[in-house]
Amino acid sequence: MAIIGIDLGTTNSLAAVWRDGRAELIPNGAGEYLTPSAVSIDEDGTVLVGQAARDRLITHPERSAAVFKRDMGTEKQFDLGGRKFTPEELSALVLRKLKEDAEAYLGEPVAEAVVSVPAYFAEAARTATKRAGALAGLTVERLVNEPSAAAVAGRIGEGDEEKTCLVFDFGGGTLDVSLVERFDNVVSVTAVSGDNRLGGRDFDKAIAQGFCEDCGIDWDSLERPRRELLLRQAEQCKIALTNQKNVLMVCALGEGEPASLTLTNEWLIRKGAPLFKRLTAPIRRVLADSGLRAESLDELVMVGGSSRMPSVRGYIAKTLGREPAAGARPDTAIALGAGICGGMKARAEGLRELVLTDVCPFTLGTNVANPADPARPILSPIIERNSVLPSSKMGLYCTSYDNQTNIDVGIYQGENLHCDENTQLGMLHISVPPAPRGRQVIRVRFTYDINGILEVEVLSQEDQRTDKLLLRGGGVSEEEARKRMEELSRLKIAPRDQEEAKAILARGGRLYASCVGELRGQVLLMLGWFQEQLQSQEPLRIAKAARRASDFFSQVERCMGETGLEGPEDMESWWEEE
Amino acid sequence: MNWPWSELGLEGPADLETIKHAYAERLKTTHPEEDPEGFQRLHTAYQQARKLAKAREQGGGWTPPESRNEAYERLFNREERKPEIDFDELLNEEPPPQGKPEPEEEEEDFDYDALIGDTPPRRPGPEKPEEEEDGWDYDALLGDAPPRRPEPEGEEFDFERLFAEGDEERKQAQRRQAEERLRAARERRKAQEKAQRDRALETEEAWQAAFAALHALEVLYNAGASVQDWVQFLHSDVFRNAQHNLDFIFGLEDFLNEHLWLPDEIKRSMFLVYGFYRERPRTEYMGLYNLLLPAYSAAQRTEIRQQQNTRRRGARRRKAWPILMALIAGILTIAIVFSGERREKPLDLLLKYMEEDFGKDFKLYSTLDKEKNRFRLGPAVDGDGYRFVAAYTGERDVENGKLGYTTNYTDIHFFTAMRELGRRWPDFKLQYNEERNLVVPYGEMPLEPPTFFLFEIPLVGAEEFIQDVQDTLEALAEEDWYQTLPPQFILILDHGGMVLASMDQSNWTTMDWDGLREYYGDKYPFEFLQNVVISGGLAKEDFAGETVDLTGAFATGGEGETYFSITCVGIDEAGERKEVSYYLTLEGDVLYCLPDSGMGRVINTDYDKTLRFENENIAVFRAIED
Repeated sequence: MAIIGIDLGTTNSLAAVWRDGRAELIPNGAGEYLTPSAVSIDEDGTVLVGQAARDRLITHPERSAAVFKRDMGTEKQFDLGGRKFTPEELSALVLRKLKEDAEAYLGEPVAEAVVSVPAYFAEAARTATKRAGALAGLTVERLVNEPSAAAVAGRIGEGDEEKTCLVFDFGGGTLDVSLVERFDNVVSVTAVSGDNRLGGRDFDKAIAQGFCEDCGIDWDSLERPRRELLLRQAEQCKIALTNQKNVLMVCALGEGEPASLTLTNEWLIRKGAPLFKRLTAPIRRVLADSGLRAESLDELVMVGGSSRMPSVRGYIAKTLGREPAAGARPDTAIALGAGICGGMKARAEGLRELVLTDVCPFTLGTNVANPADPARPILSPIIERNSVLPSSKMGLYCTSYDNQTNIDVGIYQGENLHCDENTQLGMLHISVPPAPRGRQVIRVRFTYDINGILEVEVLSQEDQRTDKLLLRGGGVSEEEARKRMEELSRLKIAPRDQEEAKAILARGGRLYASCVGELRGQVLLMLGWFQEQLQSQEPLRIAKAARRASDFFSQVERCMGETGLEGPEDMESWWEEE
Repeated sequence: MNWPWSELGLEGPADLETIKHAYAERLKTTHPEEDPEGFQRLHTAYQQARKLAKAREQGGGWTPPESRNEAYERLFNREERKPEIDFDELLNEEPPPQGKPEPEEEEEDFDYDALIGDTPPRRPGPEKPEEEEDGWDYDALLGDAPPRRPEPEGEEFDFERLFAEGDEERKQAQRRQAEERLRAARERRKAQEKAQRDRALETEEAWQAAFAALHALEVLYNAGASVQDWVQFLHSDVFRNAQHNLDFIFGLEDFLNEHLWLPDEIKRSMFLVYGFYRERPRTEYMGLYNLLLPAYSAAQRTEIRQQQNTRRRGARRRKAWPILMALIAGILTIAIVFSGERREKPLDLLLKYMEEDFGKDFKLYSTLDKEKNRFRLGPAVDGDGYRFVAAYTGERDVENGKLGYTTNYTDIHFFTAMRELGRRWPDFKLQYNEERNLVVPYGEMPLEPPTFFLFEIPLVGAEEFIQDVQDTLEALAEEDWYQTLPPQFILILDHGGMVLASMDQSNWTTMDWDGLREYYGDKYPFEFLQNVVISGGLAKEDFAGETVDLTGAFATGGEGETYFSITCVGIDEAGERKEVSYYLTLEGDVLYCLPDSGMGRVINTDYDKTLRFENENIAVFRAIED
């Protein structure tokens, strides 16, 4: 039974598997490798995942959700047409879809997966990811950090040349920077850092807001569908700027002239200046932590969809004084790496000797008394950040006042001096016999294993009293997990063969909302025609119609991108063909 | 001790490359998936080995022990390599932080120099002047030099400039917004001020108009103007501009009251000009209406009769002349009598109303102020013997609470009840009004009864009195006269200058009598005494510091004598904790403090042997022990 690897991204998700000595990407029902991480509830209660859901963000924003990866580990609720979902449940729906695609592709059931997470993901978010896997019917024992996965993919792809790489993983919602050393059969991560709230989506927002500023529109007073529309436009312009020098962004806002503006990369840099500046902080930290200088790097690897932006590439290149390595496939490297890790976990042939060592991204420690401010205990690190995993370290602590009989051992994650500025993961108590202060000593052992499970053990001096706490991905009891799984599985997922058709309808709906005038009328006609074809129920006819419709919509998008609204004349010729 | 090298499978110190390969080899058998503990040991060794190797490479620090041969070889044969240390750069560079550096900050100034580095790419050998004879093969070296850093391909963006421009734009946008807001606020303020000014101007103008019109009234009257002049005035702009102004209306009412003998025709014209003949006017005009109505009605009747007469006149012109004269005279007489009677009317109305309300007959004793319809009334039948003042105010509307008159009749009732109460409790001196010394002997009724009543109650023992006060008030409230017109009063219960309870006619019904009694009985004495002990300086005598805690208080005693015991805890001069009990007893205005050796001793009233303390209202004497 294969263990698949999944890149659960903010914007897109992918699945891959190690088969026959290589890593392969798994296509979804529409034949694409990238499945957008979006969920939408249809009018009849069916769950749509993927491109269809993404398009419905514009037409039915109150029934759709995207960009929920950023909220993993929080209690935030998303309201989809009256039903409430947590980010875990939404991720679980995406994972389930990928699982089904994999099973269809491989022709065998899939029970386990290795899922990639940002290296800088906190404990809560990691356990939430594991729970999402469980809800989707997948055992997720191992989480792999995204930059490490990219490094592994590079290793397999390029061979065992010795290199010190800086992996710059810039995705839709997060930025991760890792320093990776490769030699022989070893892929060793030396240091990690990142920014959990910086991604391509933030650039979309900067573009949309900049557009509004320059066109005199008040961003804050727009309703949500309008904003989503603008953001989607911004995203498309951003993508267009990868290959073009300038692009025209147009937005129709009801009556009157639509607002339009020509965007260039310079304009983008100006509007997004604060974001650019944030890009370099993790790089700096990672170099400092590993004691390296920029020129001692051998390679700069940029992965993640958003790292394709020429402005970002240029900036990072300038900062580090080197060009990014060619050949890295930004969108797929992580998924491939996750697939390889799946193979490694399964101890597949050809991967037996490969060793990936990763590090703990945050410092883990416990609280000690603060003589300067008794109300604010200080963090005493036990496992320092960037310690290699698995790691097991012990700290010795003693009582802080006379006749102290109970010691509260807190478990904290973070870098700040005071415990109240860090995240608390748990709490243990141990009792000690009364004695003058400092005489009673306890030993606190933190064990952080390769699966990211933290075990904390507290032993008193005489080894007579102990207390143990296992911080696994728990927080949800078996009962509860089963109940939620049942609820989720009762949600009807749209059958795979309908996926393409639904996607086309949703895409058409989105375009209809985006266009005005004659072009809009054309889109409406095409949608109507396509729906008629669907009703015929003949698969061949439907397939042809689907292709026709997607080409048409692509043409519409091109028209809108280049010249704004001109071009209905071109559309005429389409109809003639029929 | 050959650790860490032994762990890696090495014999001794080695360079970085060798270490890495050794580590990789060992990993194949000590896989972290399979042997976590072994892996940890291996990895720790690996890290340490790397550190040592780096230290050696950098040419400083401690090196692990080695054989002498190796050492000689190392020292004498190694190539002279200048350490690649650029001091300028080191001084400018920020050192890597030890321990925990701060977490993410956004706007760090990015030290390009440190990261990008000004040192040229590492070349295999340092520069050497050509003279040196060391056999360096420059070509080979230069040929092997790593390629120069490739120029970044594609577009090169001038990030600094673009960032600066972006920041500038944002700042400008913010500035514009702030200016916008400021401007809007300023405009709003200006508009408000303008509106205020306009309003003030309007009010001013209106007052001016009213004043002018009132002035005109006086002028016309004093000049004895004719009816025509008056009519002209009433149709003039001066009057019209002011006629609906409240100031003018009141002024006109005063004017009419002052000059009751203003000719009826004028009053009638006013009546007409105000349109009172059409319908009953609004409230604010009612005063005016009432003042003008008699004149108008009279005039109306006269006119009707005149009209009738004119008709009849045609028939009996000459012969009826004397008859006409008599008729006219008769009419005039009736009119006079009528208006005379009408002039009595307020009093009659007043008496009528009061009889209705109080169910008693009253009669007039004297007229205090005819203009203001203030009369001194008394009982028609010798009963209560109360004489009181009443004034007729006009419109009576009982549902809306307007009696049509004002009077202090009920105040007198209340005063009498209070006086009775005071007589029942002579020890609790009842005082009236602010002066506190206006005592009215029984039997004489004041013209204006007091409405302020103050009772002085002792420290203890007034519970029954309080009950009596409550009962009295509640009984009074049930009386008919009370319910018709509640009296005005203020009632205060006072001890030693501190007001324990105060109530007036509006709030006494919600008074918590039980609470008051409880407080008075259980808490108040102690609070009072505590206050005296501390503020009176008793405590200062025994304790050094300011803060003294009161820990105990109780009352004891036999017939007629109550002793209070107050215990204080504090720090004395020596800094030790000290506890002192004071035994206090109160006689009238004087508080005695017994020596704390016990109760039951005779009070020492020999003032020579006492210490005197000051408290606002009470003299405190403390007996000195012999």
